[in-house]
Amino acid sequence: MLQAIAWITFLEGLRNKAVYGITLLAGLMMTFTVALSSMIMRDVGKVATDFTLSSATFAALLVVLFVGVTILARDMERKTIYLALSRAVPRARYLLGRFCGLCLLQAAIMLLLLLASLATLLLVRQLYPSFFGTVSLGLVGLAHLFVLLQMWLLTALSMLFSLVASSSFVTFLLTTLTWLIGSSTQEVKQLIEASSPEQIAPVVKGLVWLAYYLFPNFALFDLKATAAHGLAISGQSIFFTLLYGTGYSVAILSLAVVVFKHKELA
Amino acid sequence: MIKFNDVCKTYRLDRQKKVTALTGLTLSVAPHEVFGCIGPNGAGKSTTIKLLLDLIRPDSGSITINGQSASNEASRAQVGYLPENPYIYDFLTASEYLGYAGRLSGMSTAAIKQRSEELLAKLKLEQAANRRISGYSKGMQQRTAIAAALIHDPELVVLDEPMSGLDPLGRKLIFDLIAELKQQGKTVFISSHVLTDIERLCDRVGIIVQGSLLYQGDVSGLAIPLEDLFLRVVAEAGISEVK
Repeated sequence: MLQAIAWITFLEGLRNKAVYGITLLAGLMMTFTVALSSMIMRDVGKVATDFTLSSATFAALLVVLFVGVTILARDMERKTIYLALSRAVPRARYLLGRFCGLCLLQAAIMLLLLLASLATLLLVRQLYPSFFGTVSLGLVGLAHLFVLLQMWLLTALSMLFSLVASSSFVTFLLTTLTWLIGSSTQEVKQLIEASSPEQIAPVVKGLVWLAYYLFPNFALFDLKATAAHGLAISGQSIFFTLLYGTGYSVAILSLAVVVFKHKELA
Repeated sequence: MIKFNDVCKTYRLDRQKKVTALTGLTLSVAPHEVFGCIGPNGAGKSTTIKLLLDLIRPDSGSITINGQSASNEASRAQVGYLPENPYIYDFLTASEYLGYAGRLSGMSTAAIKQRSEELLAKLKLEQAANRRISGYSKGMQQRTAIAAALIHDPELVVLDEPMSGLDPLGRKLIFDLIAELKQQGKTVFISSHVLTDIERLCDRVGIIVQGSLLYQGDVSGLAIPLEDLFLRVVAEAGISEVK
Protein backbone atom coordinates (compact mmCIF):
# COMPACT_ATOMS: atom_id res chain seq x y z
CA MET A 1 0.00 0.00 0.00
CA LEU A 2 2.77 2.43 1.01
CA GLN A 3 4.81 1.36 -2.02
CA ALA A 4 1.80 1.91 -4.32
CA ILE A 5 1.33 5.48 -3.03
CA ALA A 6 5.06 6.20 -3.22
CA TRP A 7 5.30 4.78 -6.74
CA ILE A 8 2.32 6.81 -8.01
CA THR A 9 3.89 9.95 -6.52
CA PHE A 10 7.19 9.16 -8.21
CA LEU A 11 5.40 8.62 -11.54
CA GLU A 12 3.45 11.86 -11.11
CA GLY A 13 6.73 13.69 -10.67
CA LEU A 14 8.43 11.91 -13.56
CA ARG A 15 5.55 12.71 -15.93
CA ASN A 16 5.51 16.36 -14.89
CA LYS A 17 6.93 18.56 -17.63
CA ALA A 18 8.36 20.93 -15.01
CA VAL A 19 10.85 18.23 -13.95
CA TYR A 20 12.25 18.03 -17.47
CA GLY A 21 12.48 21.80 -17.69
CA ILE A 22 14.32 22.02 -14.38
CA THR A 23 16.71 19.19 -15.26
CA LEU A 24 17.42 20.83 -18.62
CA LEU A 25 18.08 24.14 -16.87
CA ALA A 26 20.55 22.43 -14.52
CA GLY A 27 22.25 20.80 -17.51
CA LEU A 28 22.61 24.17 -19.22
CA MET A 29 24.01 25.75 -16.06
CA MET A 30 26.61 22.99 -15.80
CA THR A 31 27.55 23.46 -19.45
CA PHE A 32 27.91 27.15 -18.72
CA THR A 33 30.34 26.20 -15.91
CA VAL A 34 32.73 24.83 -18.53
CA ALA A 35 32.48 28.07 -20.55
CA LEU A 36 32.87 30.13 -17.37
CA SER A 37 36.02 28.22 -16.42
CA SER A 38 37.77 29.44 -19.56
CA MET A 39 37.32 33.06 -18.40
CA ILE A 40 38.89 32.55 -14.97
CA MET A 41 42.60 33.03 -14.46
CA ARG A 42 43.04 30.99 -11.27
CA ASP A 43 41.13 28.82 -8.81
CA VAL A 44 39.19 27.33 -11.72
CA GLY A 45 38.31 24.20 -9.71
CA LYS A 46 36.92 26.21 -6.79
CA VAL A 47 34.71 28.37 -9.01
CA ALA A 48 33.55 25.36 -11.05
CA THR A 49 32.73 23.37 -7.89
CA ASP A 50 30.88 26.29 -6.37
CA PHE A 51 28.93 26.84 -9.59
CA THR A 52 27.99 23.17 -10.17
CA LEU A 53 26.90 22.72 -6.55
CA SER A 54 24.89 25.94 -6.69
CA SER A 55 23.24 24.74 -9.92
CA ALA A 56 22.39 21.38 -8.34
CA THR A 57 20.95 23.08 -5.23
CA PHE A 58 18.93 25.52 -7.33
CA ALA A 59 17.51 22.72 -9.52
CA ALA A 60 16.66 20.56 -6.49
CA LEU A 61 14.98 23.55 -4.84
CA LEU A 62 12.89 24.19 -7.97
CA VAL A 63 11.76 20.55 -7.94
CA VAL A 64 10.56 20.95 -4.33
CA LEU A 65 8.85 24.27 -5.05
CA PHE A 66 7.22 23.44 -8.38
CA VAL A 67 6.57 19.72 -8.03
CA GLY A 68 6.73 18.74 -4.36
CA VAL A 69 4.67 21.64 -3.07
CA THR A 70 1.84 21.10 -5.55
CA ILE A 71 1.44 17.33 -5.30
CA LEU A 72 -0.33 17.10 -1.93
CA ALA A 73 -2.04 20.50 -2.23
CA ARG A 74 -3.50 19.59 -5.64
CA ASP A 75 -4.45 16.16 -4.34
CA MET A 76 -6.69 17.84 -1.78
CA GLU A 77 -7.92 20.64 -4.05
CA ARG A 78 -8.94 18.22 -6.83
CA LYS A 79 -10.11 15.59 -4.33
CA THR A 80 -8.06 12.86 -6.03
CA ILE A 81 -7.10 11.96 -2.47
CA TYR A 82 -10.58 10.41 -2.03
CA LEU A 83 -9.57 7.30 -3.98
CA ALA A 84 -7.11 6.27 -1.28
CA LEU A 85 -8.81 7.64 1.82
CA SER A 86 -12.21 6.12 1.01
CA ARG A 87 -10.49 2.75 1.44
CA ALA A 88 -8.81 1.12 4.41
CA VAL A 89 -5.75 3.34 4.01
CA PRO A 90 -4.61 5.04 7.24
CA ARG A 91 -4.00 8.74 6.72
CA ALA A 92 -0.52 8.47 8.23
CA ARG A 93 0.42 5.84 5.67
CA TYR A 94 -0.93 7.95 2.83
CA LEU A 95 1.13 10.95 3.89
CA LEU A 96 4.23 8.82 4.38
CA GLY A 97 3.72 7.21 0.97
CA ARG A 98 3.49 10.64 -0.66
CA PHE A 99 6.64 11.76 1.18
CA CYS A 100 8.58 8.63 0.20
CA GLY A 101 7.56 9.07 -3.44
CA LEU A 102 8.79 12.65 -3.46
CA CYS A 103 12.03 11.60 -1.75
CA LEU A 104 12.52 8.93 -4.40
CA LEU A 105 11.92 11.48 -7.17
CA GLN A 106 14.41 13.92 -5.65
CA ALA A 107 16.95 11.14 -5.14
CA ALA A 108 16.69 10.16 -8.83
CA ILE A 109 17.07 13.78 -9.94
CA MET A 110 19.93 14.34 -7.49
CA LEU A 111 21.74 11.28 -8.86
CA LEU A 112 21.46 12.78 -12.36
CA LEU A 113 22.72 16.13 -11.07
CA LEU A 114 25.62 14.45 -9.28
CA LEU A 115 26.65 12.66 -12.46
CA ALA A 116 26.39 15.94 -14.40
CA SER A 117 28.42 17.77 -11.71
CA LEU A 118 31.16 15.11 -11.71
CA ALA A 119 31.28 15.05 -15.51
CA THR A 120 31.55 18.86 -15.58
CA LEU A 121 34.30 18.95 -12.95
CA LEU A 122 36.27 16.14 -14.61
CA LEU A 123 36.03 17.97 -17.92
CA VAL A 124 37.19 21.24 -16.33
CA ARG A 125 40.09 19.39 -14.62
CA GLN A 126 41.04 17.85 -17.97
CA LEU A 127 40.97 21.26 -19.68
CA TYR A 128 42.78 23.25 -16.95
CA PRO A 129 44.84 20.75 -14.87
CA SER A 130 47.27 23.40 -13.60
CA PHE A 131 44.55 25.66 -12.18
CA PHE A 132 42.13 23.07 -10.86
CA GLY A 133 43.41 23.22 -7.29
CA THR A 134 42.48 20.97 -4.37
CA VAL A 135 38.85 20.19 -5.16
CA SER A 136 37.71 16.93 -3.58
CA LEU A 137 35.35 14.95 -5.82
CA GLY A 138 34.43 12.75 -2.85
CA LEU A 139 33.28 15.84 -0.99
CA VAL A 140 31.36 16.96 -4.07
CA GLY A 141 29.45 13.66 -3.79
CA LEU A 142 28.86 14.22 -0.08
CA ALA A 143 27.72 17.79 -0.79
CA HIS A 144 25.08 16.43 -3.19
CA LEU A 145 23.91 13.99 -0.51
CA PHE A 146 23.55 16.90 1.92
CA VAL A 147 21.61 18.92 -0.69
CA LEU A 148 19.30 15.93 -1.06
CA LEU A 149 18.88 15.71 2.71
CA GLN A 150 17.94 19.37 3.01
CA MET A 151 15.44 19.01 0.14
CA TRP A 152 13.83 16.07 1.94
CA LEU A 153 13.54 18.25 5.03
CA LEU A 154 12.07 21.10 2.96
CA THR A 155 9.63 18.61 1.39
CA ALA A 156 8.46 17.50 4.85
CA LEU A 157 7.94 21.16 5.73
CA SER A 158 6.07 21.85 2.48
CA MET A 159 3.75 18.91 3.24
CA LEU A 160 3.01 20.34 6.67
CA PHE A 161 2.33 23.74 5.08
CA SER A 162 0.03 22.10 2.48
CA LEU A 163 -2.11 20.80 5.31
CA VAL A 164 -2.50 24.12 7.09
CA ALA A 165 -2.43 26.60 4.18
CA SER A 166 -5.55 27.59 2.28
CA SER A 167 -4.01 27.16 -1.19
CA SER A 168 -0.98 25.79 -2.98
CA PHE A 169 0.22 29.37 -3.56
CA VAL A 170 0.35 30.01 0.19
CA THR A 171 2.21 26.71 0.61
CA PHE A 172 4.67 27.84 -2.07
CA LEU A 173 5.23 31.15 -0.27
CA LEU A 174 5.69 29.54 3.15
CA THR A 175 8.12 26.97 1.76
CA THR A 176 10.14 29.63 -0.08
CA LEU A 177 10.29 31.86 2.99
CA THR A 178 11.37 28.97 5.18
CA TRP A 179 14.14 28.16 2.72
CA LEU A 180 15.36 31.75 2.58
CA ILE A 181 15.29 32.23 6.35
CA GLY A 182 16.71 28.79 7.12
CA SER A 183 19.60 29.35 4.70
CA SER A 184 20.65 32.69 6.15
CA THR A 185 19.99 32.71 9.91
CA GLN A 186 23.32 31.10 10.83
CA GLU A 187 25.28 33.75 8.96
CA VAL A 188 23.18 36.59 10.41
CA LYS A 189 23.52 35.16 13.92
CA GLN A 190 27.29 34.92 13.55
CA LEU A 191 27.39 38.50 12.27
CA ILE A 192 25.40 39.75 15.26
CA GLU A 193 27.56 37.82 17.70
CA ALA A 194 30.66 39.34 16.14
CA SER A 195 29.27 42.89 16.44
CA SER A 196 29.58 45.02 19.55
CA PRO A 197 26.40 44.98 21.74
CA GLU A 198 25.57 48.71 21.22
CA GLN A 199 25.49 48.29 17.41
CA ILE A 200 22.50 45.90 17.37
CA ALA A 201 19.12 46.59 18.97
CA PRO A 202 18.03 43.91 21.50
CA VAL A 203 14.78 43.40 19.52
CA VAL A 204 16.73 42.52 16.37
CA LYS A 205 18.95 40.19 18.37
CA GLY A 206 15.89 38.52 19.83
CA LEU A 207 14.27 38.10 16.42
CA VAL A 208 17.40 36.59 14.89
CA TRP A 209 17.77 34.27 17.88
CA LEU A 210 14.12 33.22 17.52
CA ALA A 211 14.45 32.62 13.75
CA TYR A 212 17.68 30.66 14.30
CA TYR A 213 16.02 28.20 16.69
CA LEU A 214 12.56 28.16 15.08
CA PHE A 215 13.60 27.49 11.48
CA PRO A 216 15.76 24.61 10.28
CA ASN A 217 19.38 25.56 9.78
CA PHE A 218 19.90 24.81 6.09
CA ALA A 219 23.40 26.34 6.16
CA LEU A 220 24.49 23.26 8.08
CA PHE A 221 24.04 21.20 4.89
CA ASP A 222 26.05 23.59 2.71
CA LEU A 223 29.36 21.94 1.81
CA LYS A 224 30.19 24.14 -1.19
CA ALA A 225 33.21 25.85 0.41
CA THR A 226 34.43 22.62 2.05
CA ALA A 227 34.33 20.71 -1.26
CA ALA A 228 35.77 23.58 -3.34
CA HIS A 229 38.76 24.00 -1.00
CA GLY A 230 39.17 20.28 -0.36
CA LEU A 231 38.93 20.89 3.39
CA ALA A 232 38.71 18.04 5.85
CA ILE A 233 35.35 17.19 7.37
CA SER A 234 35.07 14.99 10.42
CA GLY A 235 32.96 11.86 10.57
CA GLN A 236 31.34 13.31 13.69
CA SER A 237 30.25 16.40 11.76
CA ILE A 238 28.80 14.27 8.92
CA PHE A 239 26.98 12.09 11.46
CA PHE A 240 25.59 15.13 13.29
CA THR A 241 24.30 16.70 10.04
CA LEU A 242 22.68 13.43 8.95
CA LEU A 243 21.10 13.06 12.38
CA TYR A 244 19.90 16.68 12.36
CA GLY A 245 18.33 16.37 8.89
CA THR A 246 16.69 13.02 9.57
CA GLY A 247 15.51 13.96 13.06
CA TYR A 248 14.07 17.28 11.91
CA SER A 249 12.27 15.61 8.96
CA VAL A 250 10.81 12.90 11.22
CA ALA A 251 9.61 15.53 13.71
CA ILE A 252 7.97 17.64 10.98
CA LEU A 253 6.38 14.58 9.36
CA SER A 254 5.02 13.44 12.72
CA LEU A 255 3.46 16.86 13.21
CA ALA A 256 2.03 16.71 9.67
CA VAL A 257 0.50 13.30 10.41
CA VAL A 258 -1.22 14.68 13.53
CA VAL A 259 -2.60 17.64 11.53
CA PHE A 260 -3.67 15.38 8.64
CA LYS A 261 -5.49 12.96 10.95
CA HIS A 262 -7.68 15.80 12.16
CA LYS A 263 -8.13 17.50 8.80
CA GLU A 264 -11.58 17.64 7.21
CA LEU A 265 -11.45 16.80 3.52
CA ALA A 266 -14.72 18.38 2.43
CA MET B 1 -24.58 -2.51 7.03
CA ILE B 2 -24.69 1.30 7.37
CA LYS B 3 -26.04 3.13 10.42
CA PHE B 4 -26.22 6.84 11.05
CA ASN B 5 -27.39 7.63 14.55
CA ASP B 6 -28.49 11.21 15.30
CA VAL B 7 -25.65 12.69 13.25
CA CYS B 8 -25.21 16.47 13.14
CA LYS B 9 -22.70 18.35 11.03
CA THR B 10 -21.97 22.03 10.65
CA TYR B 11 -19.39 23.69 8.42
CA ARG B 12 -17.53 26.76 9.55
CA LEU B 13 -17.58 29.39 6.82
CA ASP B 14 -15.39 31.82 8.75
CA ARG B 15 -14.69 32.62 12.39
CA GLN B 16 -18.25 33.61 13.17
CA LYS B 17 -20.45 32.07 10.48
CA LYS B 18 -21.48 28.45 10.53
CA VAL B 19 -23.78 26.58 8.21
CA THR B 20 -25.72 23.51 9.26
CA ALA B 21 -25.29 20.67 6.78
CA LEU B 22 -27.01 17.84 8.67
CA THR B 23 -29.37 17.83 11.65
CA GLY B 24 -30.00 14.66 13.63
CA LEU B 25 -29.64 12.26 10.71
CA THR B 26 -30.72 8.77 11.70
CA LEU B 27 -30.62 6.29 8.86
CA SER B 28 -29.97 2.59 8.30
CA VAL B 29 -29.17 0.69 5.15
CA ALA B 30 -29.49 -3.09 5.43
CA PRO B 31 -27.04 -5.54 3.82
CA HIS B 32 -27.84 -6.31 0.16
CA GLU B 33 -30.10 -3.26 -0.03
CA VAL B 34 -29.94 -0.59 -2.74
CA PHE B 35 -30.67 2.73 -1.07
CA GLY B 36 -31.30 5.93 -2.98
CA CYS B 37 -30.57 9.25 -1.34
CA ILE B 38 -32.21 12.21 -3.01
CA GLY B 39 -32.67 15.86 -2.22
CA PRO B 40 -32.25 19.36 -3.65
CA ASN B 41 -28.76 20.77 -4.24
CA GLY B 42 -27.08 21.57 -0.94
CA ALA B 43 -29.44 19.34 1.03
CA GLY B 44 -26.61 17.34 2.64
CA LYS B 45 -26.37 14.24 0.43
CA SER B 46 -22.65 14.54 -0.32
CA THR B 47 -22.00 15.49 3.32
CA THR B 48 -23.73 12.26 4.37
CA ILE B 49 -21.45 10.26 2.08
CA LYS B 50 -18.28 12.09 3.19
CA LEU B 51 -19.20 11.45 6.83
CA LEU B 52 -19.72 7.77 6.06
CA LEU B 53 -16.23 7.57 4.55
CA ASP B 54 -14.64 9.58 7.38
CA LEU B 55 -13.46 12.26 4.98
CA ILE B 56 -15.17 14.71 7.35
CA ARG B 57 -16.18 14.19 10.98
CA PRO B 58 -19.59 14.63 12.62
CA ASP B 59 -20.14 17.23 15.35
CA SER B 60 -22.25 14.66 17.21
CA GLY B 61 -23.82 11.27 16.67
CA SER B 62 -22.30 8.04 15.45
CA ILE B 63 -21.80 6.30 12.12
CA THR B 64 -21.02 2.61 11.66
CA ILE B 65 -20.29 0.33 8.73
CA ASN B 66 -20.87 -3.34 9.52
CA GLY B 67 -20.83 -2.52 13.22
CA GLN B 68 -17.44 -0.81 13.05
CA SER B 69 -17.12 2.90 13.64
CA ALA B 70 -16.67 4.81 10.38
CA SER B 71 -13.67 6.54 11.96
CA ASN B 72 -11.87 3.18 11.93
CA GLU B 73 -10.27 2.78 8.49
CA ALA B 74 -10.74 -1.01 8.65
CA SER B 75 -14.49 -0.38 8.24
CA ARG B 76 -13.76 0.77 4.67
CA ALA B 77 -11.93 -2.36 3.52
CA GLN B 78 -15.01 -3.50 1.61
CA VAL B 79 -16.15 -0.09 0.39
CA GLY B 80 -15.99 1.25 -3.15
CA TYR B 81 -16.65 4.96 -3.63
CA LEU B 82 -17.37 7.07 -6.67
CA PRO B 83 -17.18 10.80 -5.82
CA GLU B 84 -19.30 13.44 -7.51
CA ASN B 85 -17.47 14.85 -10.57
CA PRO B 86 -14.42 12.72 -9.89
CA TYR B 87 -10.98 14.08 -10.76
CA ILE B 88 -8.66 11.22 -11.46
CA TYR B 89 -4.91 11.10 -11.91
CA ASP B 90 -4.82 12.09 -15.56
CA PHE B 91 -1.08 11.42 -15.92
CA LEU B 92 -1.87 7.70 -15.66
CA THR B 93 -3.50 5.32 -18.12
CA ALA B 94 -6.74 3.59 -17.11
CA SER B 95 -4.82 0.32 -16.57
CA GLU B 96 -2.31 2.06 -14.29
CA TYR B 97 -5.09 3.84 -12.41
CA LEU B 98 -6.96 0.59 -11.79
CA GLY B 99 -3.68 -1.04 -10.77
CA TYR B 100 -3.14 1.71 -8.21
CA ALA B 101 -6.72 1.40 -6.93
CA GLY B 102 -6.32 -2.38 -6.62
CA ARG B 103 -3.02 -2.13 -4.76
CA LEU B 104 -4.59 0.34 -2.32
CA SER B 105 -7.03 -2.44 -1.48
CA GLY B 106 -4.26 -5.01 -1.10
CA MET B 107 -5.02 -6.98 -4.28
CA SER B 108 -2.42 -9.16 -5.97
CA THR B 109 -1.06 -8.24 -9.40
CA ALA B 110 -2.79 -11.23 -11.02
CA ALA B 111 -6.14 -10.39 -9.41
CA ILE B 112 -5.80 -6.74 -10.49
CA LYS B 113 -5.07 -7.76 -14.08
CA GLN B 114 -8.02 -10.11 -14.28
CA ARG B 115 -10.48 -7.72 -12.64
CA SER B 116 -9.23 -4.71 -14.65
CA GLU B 117 -9.73 -6.51 -17.95
CA GLU B 118 -13.22 -7.54 -16.87
CA LEU B 119 -14.25 -4.03 -15.77
CA LEU B 120 -12.64 -2.22 -18.71
CA ALA B 121 -14.49 -4.51 -21.10
CA LYS B 122 -17.76 -4.06 -19.24
CA LEU B 123 -17.40 -0.28 -19.28
CA LYS B 124 -16.27 -0.20 -22.93
CA LEU B 125 -12.85 1.18 -22.07
CA GLU B 126 -10.60 -1.66 -23.22
CA GLN B 127 -9.53 0.20 -26.40
CA ALA B 128 -8.39 3.19 -24.36
CA ALA B 129 -6.90 1.20 -21.46
CA ASN B 130 -3.30 2.12 -22.27
CA ARG B 131 -3.90 5.74 -23.19
CA ARG B 132 -3.34 8.59 -20.73
CA ILE B 133 -6.56 9.59 -18.93
CA SER B 134 -5.81 13.25 -19.76
CA GLY B 135 -7.02 12.47 -23.30
CA TYR B 136 -10.32 10.94 -22.16
CA SER B 137 -13.75 12.53 -22.51
CA LYS B 138 -15.64 13.37 -19.30
CA GLY B 139 -17.80 10.28 -19.71
CA MET B 140 -14.76 8.03 -20.12
CA GLN B 141 -13.20 9.55 -16.99
CA GLN B 142 -16.42 8.91 -15.07
CA ARG B 143 -16.45 5.28 -16.23
CA THR B 144 -12.78 4.86 -15.27
CA ALA B 145 -13.59 6.21 -11.81
CA ILE B 146 -16.45 3.74 -11.47
CA ALA B 147 -14.14 0.89 -12.51
CA ALA B 148 -11.67 2.01 -9.82
CA ALA B 149 -14.47 2.02 -7.23
CA LEU B 150 -15.35 -1.57 -8.13
CA ILE B 151 -11.89 -3.04 -8.74
CA HIS B 152 -11.74 -4.84 -5.37
CA ASP B 153 -15.29 -6.20 -5.73
CA PRO B 154 -16.52 -4.35 -2.63
CA GLU B 155 -19.52 -5.37 -0.56
CA LEU B 156 -20.65 -1.78 -0.13
CA VAL B 157 -20.69 0.57 -3.11
CA VAL B 158 -21.23 4.29 -2.52
CA LEU B 159 -22.06 6.26 -5.65
CA ASP B 160 -22.36 10.04 -5.60
CA GLU B 161 -24.12 11.19 -8.77
CA PRO B 162 -22.97 8.20 -10.87
CA MET B 163 -24.77 9.41 -13.99
CA SER B 164 -23.20 12.88 -13.93
CA GLY B 165 -21.47 13.81 -17.18
CA LEU B 166 -22.54 10.67 -19.03
CA ASP B 167 -24.23 10.48 -22.42
CA PRO B 168 -27.26 8.19 -22.82
CA LEU B 169 -25.05 5.23 -23.75
CA GLY B 170 -22.82 5.80 -20.74
CA ARG B 171 -25.87 6.10 -18.51
CA LYS B 172 -27.19 2.81 -19.81
CA LEU B 173 -23.83 1.15 -19.07
CA ILE B 174 -23.80 2.44 -15.50
CA PHE B 175 -27.46 1.63 -15.01
CA ASP B 176 -26.81 -1.97 -16.06
CA LEU B 177 -23.76 -2.13 -13.84
CA ILE B 178 -25.72 -0.99 -10.77
CA ALA B 179 -28.49 -3.46 -11.66
CA GLU B 180 -25.82 -6.18 -11.78
CA LEU B 181 -24.47 -5.12 -8.38
CA LYS B 182 -28.02 -5.41 -7.04
CA GLN B 183 -28.33 -8.90 -8.53
CA GLN B 184 -25.02 -9.88 -6.92
CA GLY B 185 -26.43 -8.89 -3.53
CA LYS B 186 -24.15 -5.90 -2.96
CA THR B 187 -25.20 -3.07 -0.71
CA VAL B 188 -25.42 0.12 -2.75
CA PHE B 189 -25.86 3.69 -1.52
CA ILE B 190 -26.66 6.06 -4.40
CA SER B 191 -27.05 9.78 -4.32
CA SER B 192 -28.61 11.05 -7.52
CA HIS B 193 -30.84 13.66 -9.12
CA VAL B 194 -32.04 11.21 -11.76
CA LEU B 195 -35.21 10.12 -10.00
CA THR B 196 -36.31 7.65 -12.68
CA ASP B 197 -33.08 5.68 -12.17
CA ILE B 198 -33.50 5.76 -8.40
CA GLU B 199 -37.07 4.54 -8.79
CA ARG B 200 -36.03 1.66 -11.03
CA LEU B 201 -32.88 0.60 -9.19
CA CYS B 202 -33.47 1.20 -5.50
CA ASP B 203 -35.20 -0.89 -2.85
CA ARG B 204 -35.59 2.08 -0.51
CA VAL B 205 -35.31 5.80 -0.84
CA GLY B 206 -34.58 8.65 1.56
CA ILE B 207 -35.29 12.32 0.92
CA ILE B 208 -32.98 14.81 2.59
CA VAL B 209 -33.98 18.46 2.68
CA GLN B 210 -31.98 21.18 4.43
CA GLY B 211 -29.93 18.61 6.32
CA SER B 212 -32.85 16.58 7.65
CA LEU B 213 -34.12 13.23 6.48
CA LEU B 214 -37.78 14.04 5.84
CA TYR B 215 -38.85 10.81 4.23
CA GLN B 216 -37.67 7.24 3.93
CA GLY B 217 -39.50 4.21 2.68
CA ASP B 218 -39.72 1.33 0.23
CA VAL B 219 -39.80 2.29 -3.42
CA SER B 220 -42.19 -0.58 -4.21
CA GLY B 221 -44.73 0.76 -1.73
CA LEU B 222 -44.92 4.27 -3.18
CA ALA B 223 -48.48 5.33 -3.92
CA ILE B 224 -47.37 8.15 -6.21
CA PRO B 225 -44.41 8.55 -8.59
CA LEU B 226 -41.14 9.34 -6.82
CA GLU B 227 -40.85 12.70 -8.54
CA ASP B 228 -44.26 13.80 -7.20
CA LEU B 229 -43.35 12.57 -3.74
CA PHE B 230 -40.03 14.42 -3.89
CA LEU B 231 -41.70 17.68 -4.94
CA ARG B 232 -44.32 17.32 -2.23
CA VAL B 233 -41.72 16.68 0.52
CA VAL B 234 -39.63 19.62 -0.64
CA ALA B 235 -42.70 21.89 -0.79
CA GLU B 236 -43.79 20.80 2.70
CA ALA B 237 -40.35 21.72 3.96
CA GLY B 238 -41.07 25.26 2.80
CA ILE B 239 -38.63 25.37 -0.09
CA SER B 240 -40.23 27.12 -3.03
CA GLU B 241 -37.27 26.74 -5.35
CA VAL B 242 -34.22 24.59 -5.54
CA LYS B 243 -31.16 26.27 -3.99
